[in-house]
Amino acid sequence: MTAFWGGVLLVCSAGPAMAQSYPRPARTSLTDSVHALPDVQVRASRTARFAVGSRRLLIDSTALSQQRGGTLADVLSARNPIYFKTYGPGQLSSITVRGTAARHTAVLWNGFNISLPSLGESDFATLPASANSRVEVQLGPAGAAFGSGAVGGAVLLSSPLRWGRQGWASVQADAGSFGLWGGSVEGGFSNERVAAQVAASARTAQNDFTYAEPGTGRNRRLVNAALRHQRSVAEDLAWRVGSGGEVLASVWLTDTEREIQPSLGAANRHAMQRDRNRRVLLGYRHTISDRQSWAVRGAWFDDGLDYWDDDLDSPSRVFTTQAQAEYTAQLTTRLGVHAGMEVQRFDARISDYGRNLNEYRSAGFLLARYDPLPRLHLSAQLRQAVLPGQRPPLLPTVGGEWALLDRATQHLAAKASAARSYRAPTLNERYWSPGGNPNLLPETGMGYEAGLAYKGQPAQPSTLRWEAEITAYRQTVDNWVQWLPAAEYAGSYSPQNLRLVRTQGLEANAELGWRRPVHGMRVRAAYAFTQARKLEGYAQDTDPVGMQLAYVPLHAATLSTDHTWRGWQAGAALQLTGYRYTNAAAEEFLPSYLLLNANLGYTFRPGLVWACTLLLQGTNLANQAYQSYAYRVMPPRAGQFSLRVAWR
Amino acid sequence: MFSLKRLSLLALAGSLFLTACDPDKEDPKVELPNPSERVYVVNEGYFPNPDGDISLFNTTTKTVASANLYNSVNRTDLGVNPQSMTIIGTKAYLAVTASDSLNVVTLADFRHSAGLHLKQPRYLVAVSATKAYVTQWNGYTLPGTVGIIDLATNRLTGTISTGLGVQPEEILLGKNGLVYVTNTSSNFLTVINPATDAVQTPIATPDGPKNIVQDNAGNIWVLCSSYAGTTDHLIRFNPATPATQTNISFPNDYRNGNLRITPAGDQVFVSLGTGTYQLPLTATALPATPVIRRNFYGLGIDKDGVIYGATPRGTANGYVARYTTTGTKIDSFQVGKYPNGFVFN
Repeated sequence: MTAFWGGVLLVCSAGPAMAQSYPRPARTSLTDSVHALPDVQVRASRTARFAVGSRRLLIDSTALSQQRGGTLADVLSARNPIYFKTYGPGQLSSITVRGTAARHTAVLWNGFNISLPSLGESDFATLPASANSRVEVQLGPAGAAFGSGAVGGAVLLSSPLRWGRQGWASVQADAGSFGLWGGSVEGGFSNERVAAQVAASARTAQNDFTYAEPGTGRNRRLVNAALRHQRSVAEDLAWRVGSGGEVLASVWLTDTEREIQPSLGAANRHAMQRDRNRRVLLGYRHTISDRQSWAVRGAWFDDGLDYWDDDLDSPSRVFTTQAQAEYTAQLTTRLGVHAGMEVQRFDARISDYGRNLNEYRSAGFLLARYDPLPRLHLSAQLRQAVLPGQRPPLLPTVGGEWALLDRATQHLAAKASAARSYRAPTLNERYWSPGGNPNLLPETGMGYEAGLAYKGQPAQPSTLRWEAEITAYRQTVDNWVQWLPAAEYAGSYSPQNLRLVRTQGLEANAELGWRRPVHGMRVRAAYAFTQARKLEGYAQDTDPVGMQLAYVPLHAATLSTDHTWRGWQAGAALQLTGYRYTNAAAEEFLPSYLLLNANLGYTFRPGLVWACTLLLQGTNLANQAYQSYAYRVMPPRAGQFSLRVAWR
Repeated sequence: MFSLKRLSLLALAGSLFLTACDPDKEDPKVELPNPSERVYVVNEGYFPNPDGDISLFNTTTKTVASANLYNSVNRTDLGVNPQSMTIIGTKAYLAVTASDSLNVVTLADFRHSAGLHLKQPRYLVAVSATKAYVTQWNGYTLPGTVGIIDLATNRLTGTISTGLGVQPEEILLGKNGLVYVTNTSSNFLTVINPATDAVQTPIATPDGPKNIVQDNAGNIWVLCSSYAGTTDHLIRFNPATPATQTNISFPNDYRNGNLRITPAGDQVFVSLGTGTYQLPLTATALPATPVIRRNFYGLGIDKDGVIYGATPRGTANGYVARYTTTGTKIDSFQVGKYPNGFVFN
């Protein structure tokens, strides 16, 4: 394992010696739960331990290292059947996890929710990835662990630090089709006392490709879709103080300015959007003993989103201040608990609210894990949030895992979990003027899932391994919010608690890995069947019941393979996306599409501590004309060339 | 590269398999009824998608000949927000606001015959055999205009400003030969002499004039509905004495609109939030009860007095219900998205 992934790691900036000394935890398989913990623990609590029976994907470093400077939307969809509703290259990318809407996936950075408080969702095209990033996806409701918005799932971002790594650095330059230019710098230093790392990237793209106009087939050039700039700087610093103390500070600044691609046939109104996000975190953890620790963290976010076009100018800004305190203890060898509380304060300066406003939200939680037998693991979670003028539900989660088979060569586990979740109404939903509905109730969800996970390897210590997992789930979301035309003002919409929606489906994946002295390979297939339907709606809701929700593909699959051979790396991934209805009445659909992406790289080492990597990537190699969101063209076949020089 | 080649083959096979699972697409082939049997429905589409189009209803078979006529015939989208269709001679002019285009089609077969690039066109009227006027919003930062179109060449030959950000909307050629323009974001009508293209003294109205018709007695009716006022107004005046206005007021509602008149010009209809009302030409107040207890996004009355009411259903296709003159429902049929009006041949 280590040697093969060490090969992959070359692309991730560190030399081979470093790879063996400090293997990255992100090198476990995509489907494994989190096994290896980073040394510095002051950030997000390791909630995975308390989420037995649920499913969590760890995005591997291959995807991350190849998409360095790209966005999380690219990273997450590269080798997983996670659908993003994308409004064009570099445009708004909304995630759909288990058939729910974008606002039903919480996005957390080092344990703090970074979804825009105004919109209640994240645009994954404004979240650049770096090789320092660790990306996990919690699938299914996880309200008890992650609070508001974790209805369909949660995306967990962090940038782990490790002690005693000395110094390392890498620099990369990218050039690609349609005026893509980019670069990134990463580096860091750590000893046993202090650890620091920085990752910075910048990118620009014209996106002025030619496409065939649907219907006429006439060639047209895409206009007003350029990424003017996307910049990201992430810094992390940890410092050991006294005995058992750790101070940690993190900063993540992102700035994206892009032209807003008009829909096909629309006149160009020169729409622009600039997203500026500043995120600062400061924390302290104190380890009392092997069995007990406590931590406090504070975070401050400044989220600016400005939109303008020929006629409009709509600036908005929200400041969020958050604090968390938590206590973790292993009470007995079998029972561990994790308890804590958090407070958030939003200060919104949004012209469309007609006034500046602020709001507090808080929550308390208790997570427990109990291992009554070596083969049986149980967990329970509980959270209660407090919102102004609202009564959010108590959020319990229970889960269990039973090892049906536990041999040296084979491991088979059955797992199940049940969870409640909720989503607090966003600031826009309540305060937008005109139309905001201050009486909106929180959306509430209830979900169940069960599955089997299998891992195998030959009896002899071997280089071969295989694994497979299958999960079935069902969940409902009640009081689903929908914006409807409002009676009070011309052309305005108002959000209402309108619906009961049920999503259910099946997730299956299988993986085969093989490592030999100079060759490593991995083949992976993943499939998701997702049925999402409205079960009930109020009379004002004209959308029919029983139809598949818009922009939720019934079928999605990925097939990928990655190889290393001496200094070479090669990989290919197929993304198959089934048809998606584009309206709630299921009258129209976008056809299925298939994307083939591939990469080829070579690393040579002029010295012991230097590594130089050339990387070629091709996307949409079959040159498929497709749309992710109706009437927004997506890029044809494209290529990208990267050169990376890494030290240590 | 071996694996790549394999994957390409797999991709091809996968593609075929995938699309085989997709739902069937309807064949958009269309048989056009005789001109006398045609009722056109203008569908704005779901903004900002270019899925607005014209639906064609056959009054003999009482069926929809085509829900998306332009696309079916021309095999391309009409554009974003088709706002109006105006028949001039053997042609129809389709004003597509958010595509900045005016599409000309031959009425007989609905084939595209010419196109003009015009900023935010809204409504059109022929003012002579060779000239038409088209209202244009031009955003909020440029003056709203009336564009002058040469019908022989289908070119824009000039523009007449109606004021900054006033959003000129409906346009009427009066029986006195003058042209009246409703400026929806203002409180006046622009009056133009089409012989000289000269702007005359504007006519003051309550806030938000949006619809305009002229009855067979020669009086002009204007529906005024402001964005956030408390009262909306239906005014009537003799074009010779425009300052003297009969004013019928009712509570503000964003749905107030669709002032329409029978082809004979003897009855006025208006669709308000509280229902659709029929008014005699001498009315001084709203009738106590509406003729149809429903509000319509699009309204039209044909020469036989049949009332057509259009209702959108969000992202789904909208529908049209037909009523007798007394408000009894006849039938209903599905059209395109956001149907906003009717054109009778």
